[in-house]
Amino acid sequence: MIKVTIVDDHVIFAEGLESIFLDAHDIQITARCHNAESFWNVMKTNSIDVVLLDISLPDVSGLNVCEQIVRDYPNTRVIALTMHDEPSLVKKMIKKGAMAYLLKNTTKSELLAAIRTVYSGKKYYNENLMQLLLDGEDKPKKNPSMGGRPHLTRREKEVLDLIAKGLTTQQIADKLFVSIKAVEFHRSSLLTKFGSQNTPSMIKEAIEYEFIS
Amino acid sequence: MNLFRKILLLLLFSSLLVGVKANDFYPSLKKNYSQKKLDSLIIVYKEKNDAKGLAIAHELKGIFFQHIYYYSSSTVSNFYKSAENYFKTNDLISYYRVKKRIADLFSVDDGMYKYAVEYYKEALGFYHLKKDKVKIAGYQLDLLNIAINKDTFSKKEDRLISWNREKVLKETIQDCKKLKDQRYLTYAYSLYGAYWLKKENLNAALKYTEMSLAKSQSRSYLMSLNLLQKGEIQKLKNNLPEAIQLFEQSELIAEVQNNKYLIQLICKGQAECYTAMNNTPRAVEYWQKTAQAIEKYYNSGQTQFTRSEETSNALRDAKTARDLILEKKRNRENVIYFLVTFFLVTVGAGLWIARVKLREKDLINQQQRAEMELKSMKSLIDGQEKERNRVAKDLHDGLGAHLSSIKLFIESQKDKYEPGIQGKLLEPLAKNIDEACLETRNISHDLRPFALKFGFSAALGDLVKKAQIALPEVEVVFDTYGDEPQIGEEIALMVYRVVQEILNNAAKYAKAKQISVQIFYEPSQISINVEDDGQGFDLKVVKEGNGLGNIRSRIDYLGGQVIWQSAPNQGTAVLISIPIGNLPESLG
Repeated sequence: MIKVTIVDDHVIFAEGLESIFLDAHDIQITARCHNAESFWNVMKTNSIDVVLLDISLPDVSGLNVCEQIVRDYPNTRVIALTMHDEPSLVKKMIKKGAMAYLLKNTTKSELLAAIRTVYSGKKYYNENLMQLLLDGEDKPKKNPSMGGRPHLTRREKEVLDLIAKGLTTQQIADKLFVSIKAVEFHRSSLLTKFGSQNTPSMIKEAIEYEFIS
Repeated sequence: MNLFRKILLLLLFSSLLVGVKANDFYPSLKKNYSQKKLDSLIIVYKEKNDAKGLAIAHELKGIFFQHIYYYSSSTVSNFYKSAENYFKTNDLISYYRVKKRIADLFSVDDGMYKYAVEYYKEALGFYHLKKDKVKIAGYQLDLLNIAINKDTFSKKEDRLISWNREKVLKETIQDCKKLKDQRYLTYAYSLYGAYWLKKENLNAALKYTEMSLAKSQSRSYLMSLNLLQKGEIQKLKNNLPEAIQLFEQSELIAEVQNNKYLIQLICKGQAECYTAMNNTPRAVEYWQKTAQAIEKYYNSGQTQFTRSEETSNALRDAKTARDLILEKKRNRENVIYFLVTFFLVTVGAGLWIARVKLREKDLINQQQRAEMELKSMKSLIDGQEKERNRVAKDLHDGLGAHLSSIKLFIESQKDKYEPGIQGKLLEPLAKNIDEACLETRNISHDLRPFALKFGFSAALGDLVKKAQIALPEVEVVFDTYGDEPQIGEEIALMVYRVVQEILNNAAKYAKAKQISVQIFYEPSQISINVEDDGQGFDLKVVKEGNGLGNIRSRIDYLGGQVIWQSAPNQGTAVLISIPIGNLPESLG
């Protein structure tokens, strides 16, 4: 029997959620809590296997609650069940130790699958979540300190090219029909991207990465 | 029938009661109250949030201060508060009455009279709508008053009141006669006298001043003003003893009314008379008095609006004159020398003061305007964000929760029905609800970027990711350089909105293959570059459309810079830099 607790301040939702498990005989809803405080009271007296945790709670953020569960009750698994789908929030919640992240308009079958998977000690990520998490993760940071070929925009390349040809800022501005300030903006971006203090060392880097020949 | 009558009676009675109560409740503008009493009233009304009470109490307090200090910052600020509250209660007649109180004080102040013109014109517009001819005549005269007395000012300022003064004056006099309004007719004659005095037609000036004088109520402001005006005329006619007598009569009334503006003018007139009469002790006495009066009018903890230099110049002027006369007493043989010096110093000082004054006034007005613009911009943005926040929360926590509850209900009941109903009815229904949930979340995010709590980069990263999901055919790149500094949520939100707007524009119009968003964090500034390789636009054609203007005003507000770089088929880059050490105080 998997013992599950629901933590959600929206009463109707929590009740509806409970009714879903009526015919799932391997799952038992131990308690419904509408804030973090009452949840901690439940945790003191029961051993809970899985927590269905909302992030927007009236007293404490679900992020903090998740962190504390993972720290103090290592045998209890957390499933985030929330309205929020911001990628940064999803990442934060996973980092804090949530084993699954579901949106509130999930399906019954997915909910049951998630509870069972998590209970067995495995993470449950659905397809949407994977896309949200992976997107951006596959591109390495182009921070100059980390090395690697920096990513230049088209206009940065134009300016770099003309700097390398020895043109002054004014000449570049005239040639590209832009203001001096715009050229200075791009020059400063370029210096940052190549991690250089001055133009000569930047040009040297640029040649090394074959931006200019 | 009987019942109906009873109800009517009851209604009548209760309305009477309310009327009596209201009269008892609010202080009367005709009575005098102590400052203490007024202060306690203001506290009570503030607690009750009673705008009408506050309006009346502040007006009374303004009148109280006007009586003691005349033109002081306490006077004006109380009138302003009163006007604001009258406006809130929609009592426009009282609102314009109080605004006129302020304008009357400003109208004689070289630094502030432009605001008086503004207020009078505003009221004039209002009474034109109401077709109140008497009020129209009155405000017309108030504007003429400024036009005539500020006659010597530069052409640029003169355009404020671009009338043919004599024509309008004559018309207004005719209007007043038609309306049989003696008070405004008196006022109009006095102004006509002042007009001729400025034109140096002394006989005409005397004629109209005396006509006004004959109609002036004893011990009134107009009486005092007319006596002063007549004194000035007689002084110019070289009837010095008579002039002095007139000044003294005028002074008596002005003292009773504590009109510090008139008092200083009167003292100056007297001093000039005595100087011309070669009555040295008296001249010294009155120059000293003038200096004191000017000091009282400007410097006694009162008019701390903006100017201080120009008033101390006027003061210095009077003091210089006094010192020079003292010197004359010592070196009687150097009369010619003194006269020349006096003349040169006065002219030189006058020229210098005029120059400094003009330049300063321009600067100050500019500064005030800029400050006011900044303030209204801030409150506009604040209000907008508050409202957005509220709607987003309602959507997300209210509607969103309900939708997910419905979805849950379907999910929990689904299995009880046969597969036909499941496939044809319940599943499409669930799918629709899913879409509604997604839509709700998206609207809510647009309104209130939740992730800003986790930092600027996090929120922008989410924004870019959302854009990527919405535009699968475009590659959206997001890069940050440097370490994110501490940025206030309010500022972060404003910059976030700007990037959101730029991204929206790019998504809508650019037809790009790639959009890149780059943030460069530096210790003293944030630079942002949003660049696309789309079709671009001609900067000369799309100058400052609504969207671009919006972006610019937000960046201006943060003290930053924004550059658009675009040309047809050349893509678009929007370059923004915002200083983070130098943000508006209210935000920092």
